[in-house]
Amino acid sequence: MKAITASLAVALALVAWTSARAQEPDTWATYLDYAYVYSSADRDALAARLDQYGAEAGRSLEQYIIQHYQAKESRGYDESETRREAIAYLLDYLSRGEPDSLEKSEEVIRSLEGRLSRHENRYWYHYILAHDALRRGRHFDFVGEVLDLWLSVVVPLENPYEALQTLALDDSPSSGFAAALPYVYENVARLILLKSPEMGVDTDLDPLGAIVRLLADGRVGAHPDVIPPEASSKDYLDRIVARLDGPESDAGSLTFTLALFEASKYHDQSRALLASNGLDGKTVEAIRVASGAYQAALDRADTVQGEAAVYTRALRQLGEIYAAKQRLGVDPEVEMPFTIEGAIEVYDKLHEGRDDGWRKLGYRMTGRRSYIEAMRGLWEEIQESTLNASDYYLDRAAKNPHLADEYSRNAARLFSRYLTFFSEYATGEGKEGIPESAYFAAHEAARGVGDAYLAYAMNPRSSEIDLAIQHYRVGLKLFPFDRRIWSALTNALERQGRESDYMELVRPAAEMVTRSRSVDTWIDNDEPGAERIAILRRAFSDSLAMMYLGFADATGVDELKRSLEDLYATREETRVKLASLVARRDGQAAADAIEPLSPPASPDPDGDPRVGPRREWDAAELGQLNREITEASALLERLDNQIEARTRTLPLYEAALTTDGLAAELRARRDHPLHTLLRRMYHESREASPGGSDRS
Amino acid sequence: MARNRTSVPSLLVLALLALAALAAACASSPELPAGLLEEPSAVEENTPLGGEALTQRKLEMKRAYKDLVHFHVTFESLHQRKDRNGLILFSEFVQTYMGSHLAPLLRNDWQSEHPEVMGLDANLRFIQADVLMQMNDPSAVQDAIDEIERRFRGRENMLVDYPIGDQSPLGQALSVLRDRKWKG
Repeated sequence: MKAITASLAVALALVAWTSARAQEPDTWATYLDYAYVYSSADRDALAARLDQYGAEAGRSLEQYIIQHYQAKESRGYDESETRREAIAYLLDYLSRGEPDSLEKSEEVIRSLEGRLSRHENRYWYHYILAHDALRRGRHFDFVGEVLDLWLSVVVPLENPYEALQTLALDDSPSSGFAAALPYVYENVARLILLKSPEMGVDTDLDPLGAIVRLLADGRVGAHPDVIPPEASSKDYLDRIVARLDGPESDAGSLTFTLALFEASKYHDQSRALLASNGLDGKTVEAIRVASGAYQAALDRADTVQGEAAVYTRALRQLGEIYAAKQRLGVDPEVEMPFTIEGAIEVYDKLHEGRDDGWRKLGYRMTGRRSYIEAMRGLWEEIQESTLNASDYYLDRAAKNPHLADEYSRNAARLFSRYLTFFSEYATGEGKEGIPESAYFAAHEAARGVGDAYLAYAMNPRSSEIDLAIQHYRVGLKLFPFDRRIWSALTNALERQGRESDYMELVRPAAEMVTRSRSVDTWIDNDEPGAERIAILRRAFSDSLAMMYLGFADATGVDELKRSLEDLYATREETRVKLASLVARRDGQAAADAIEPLSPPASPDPDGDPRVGPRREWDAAELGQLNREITEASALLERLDNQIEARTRTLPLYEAALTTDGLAAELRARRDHPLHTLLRRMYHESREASPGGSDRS
Repeated sequence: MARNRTSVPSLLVLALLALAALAAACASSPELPAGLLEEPSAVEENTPLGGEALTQRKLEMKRAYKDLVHFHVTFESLHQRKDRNGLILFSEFVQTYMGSHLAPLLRNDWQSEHPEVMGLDANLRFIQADVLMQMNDPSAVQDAIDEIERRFRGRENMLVDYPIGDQSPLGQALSVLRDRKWKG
């Protein structure tokens, strides 16, 4: 009985409270009428906003739903009330993720199916059904609802909105739902770009590519007075459309673009973790998620264009992992479904389409430039990941001497793979798809093979030393402006006792520079780095300077200068000595002509027989004097030659040393202008070589 | 748009809706005197617009043209990817767009003769024909070609934005269109 009395009291209190509330203006009704303004905020922001509205209205949305809608036993038909109820349930679902609320929202909005002549009703009808389709994972229904929303709400409202705006009436209370158009654009954009990936609807979205393009074309972000730019999804939308229409597309597929974008986000997250945590468990997991997302994007790709886009990004991640392993000195197990060989296969397919087939590969809409850009982008990632992986093995070889032979040979294999790839495509017909930096990278790879065998391997075989020498020569030809490769070659030759072959082996590389039209033009036009290239070209035209480049050590310049000073001193001594010898010989001859020789009465026992009292020289003494004069003269001549050569060459060599650092600059900057010169030099030399095939 | 929805309203719901509509019709306000709200006459439709109305019309036509360019790109993508389901869904959408939005916009004869909009009008018709081609509807393409010929007779030298991304005299553009109609 007590319980019944208590229940009755509570019920009466509730009725009284509800009745009092009924007299107040319905604040929530207003909030729900303008829900198109805030409904597409992310869950946390939406929940915070609804909490704030609840505080202002004196009851939460949940309470409002219970008291206003659920408490009603029968609902009298009221279009606006029905719409608000459906919106209230939708907001509850969006802010709390409660699926029952969405089901309720769908049920209520369907009761408006006979009243869809009103744009506002149509908007919420399709918007709610689109959310329902997303929740149920019904891809085609989702696409259909969004297309319907566009046709039945956006298209009819665009002209009225423009007219209202022209007359500054878009803020008028009686402008109706037309004034909501900027929000409708924004909400549709968020629904497609943010909500569908979030809900896992990631296939069959391609017809919505049209809507995304329409939204980006002067719609989203076009009303900063209504939606401030910082609150708009315009930037994100523009990036998506740029991807759709760019080289990283899959023949314009929205499904693929969203998948690749999603993967890029995971990649960015793993990169941030790598920077902050190193290669710890959390980072490795993030890398695994990102590479899984790249794999998902690859699965969505229907064209070679799409495959190339995925491989380009996935290989960047691979390169980053090797660089991190080397930098951090750790070697965790990292799952990575992408390989350099896989990327090379994709590049092969791209190359196959070089004449007309590129359109069929997916670039019909984006054009040939985009095709070339994609090829170059993929190449750069193949190149960088190969170099990073090789460097990682060299580093391990240096740190683990007992495994140095194994690691250094791993590095050599990777470097060689890149060189094979390079030589296959760096031809007249393939060069268009090769980036400028590929030529310097080939130099790095060639030098890397030599270093792997000679500087890192503990016991290189004779055949490997031969290979190292050959690769140093290739490296020299590709980039002769790095002094260290000249000395690396002499060291290699020394190991085989072939130092004398040095000039013969390096001369072609030097002549390639001194005779190059490209180098000439580069210097004449004062292109970037022209001054340093001119210095090196002068050095390459002097065989002694080339000897210095190969055999002298940079730290020995002072030593070389000192030896020149010694030469000057020696020459002076020799000159004095020669003068004295000549004077003696000439003096004797003069004396012989004036007075005849007579033997001294008593010779000075301590005196120099040559300057002592005159005596007649015998033929042997005179012969000796003449030999000494001849020798001194020859020495003086040799010294003159040496001084002349060194005086001419040392400044050239010294100047050449000032150009040190070019290689480091090119390695650090893949967009360095000098890469272009290397490319021109390489193809120029191929054209000039017998059987060269670069004339295209 | 007619699509296979996952939840089709039951017959009962349809019957109830029909009853409700009947009841609403019976309980409507007093009827308007006949003739006060007739559709615009042929004379009204053929009256060239001017001032702000003409400006609005130009904007509307430009927007429609850009919309069709985006549809064209999307069709290209769907065809290249051989996305059959996507093509069906998107074709329905574009068909409805053309019927409900584009057809009224292109109905008036004066637009094809007005110096300020005749270019836009021709461009719209060409791109519409091209999009119809992508929808594999040769008979609708032929109708569009016939309509262009009828409206622009004697103006074959007028430059139009066709093929897409290019410009050519209208007569030549028509030849290209006819040629493509068969090649697909």
